[in-house]
Amino acid sequence: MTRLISLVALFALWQIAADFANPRLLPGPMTVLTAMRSEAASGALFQALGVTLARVAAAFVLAMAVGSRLAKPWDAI
Amino acid sequence: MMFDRAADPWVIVLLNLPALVIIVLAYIWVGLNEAAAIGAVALNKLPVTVVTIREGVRALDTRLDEMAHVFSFSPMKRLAHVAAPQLAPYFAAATRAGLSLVWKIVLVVELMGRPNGVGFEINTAFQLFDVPLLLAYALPFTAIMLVIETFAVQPFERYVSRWRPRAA
Repeated sequence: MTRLISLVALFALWQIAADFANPRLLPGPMTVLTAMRSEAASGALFQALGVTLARVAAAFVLAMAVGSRLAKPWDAI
Repeated sequence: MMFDRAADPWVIVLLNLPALVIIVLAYIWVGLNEAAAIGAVALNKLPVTVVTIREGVRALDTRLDEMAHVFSFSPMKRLAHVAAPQLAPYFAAATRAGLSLVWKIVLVVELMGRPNGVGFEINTAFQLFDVPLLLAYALPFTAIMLVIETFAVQPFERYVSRWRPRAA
């Protein structure tokens, strides 16, 4: 609950800051949401997210596998 | 012990080599391809994993080893019931620290030499000075990683650390 309120406060602060700032430098949440929606509609957003997540997964698994082996856990056995 | 002493300089060099240097070298040496991209990210995370899990290996309780010896555990049993539970929290810590490191570096790798992905789109937004577009890609990706962190990594960490008196 506290986390939710804190998140809402973050968005409210963003909106207030955007009202005062140059809209080219700091767009408000609604402007970003519109941009997000148009990227999602074309499918480009999901494609980019998917590609990036796949890279994160591959690099993470590779590093964990090789790293765990290099740490020589069998020293303890 | 000899392994530790020999590996130490390697780990320290790799730990302190800037991510950007590793990425640029990977792209120059391996080429502008997927293997170089993923390899560069993995190489950035590698020393952190090694150091964290190695710390766990050093912290293994010798008294539990002696107990396993007294009860003449087989090597398999020793691995499963003595070593693995003690190493699991360190593995979880490496997972948590590693995932956040990896997803940040992946964006840099994409920005520098990949024709797709969130990092590439952020580069496009940068060139157009299009802040809404930049945030439209950055925020959903951050949200996804936050969800993975909260609902997969943290429960995993709690689960493998459950034998500890003070859980993570």
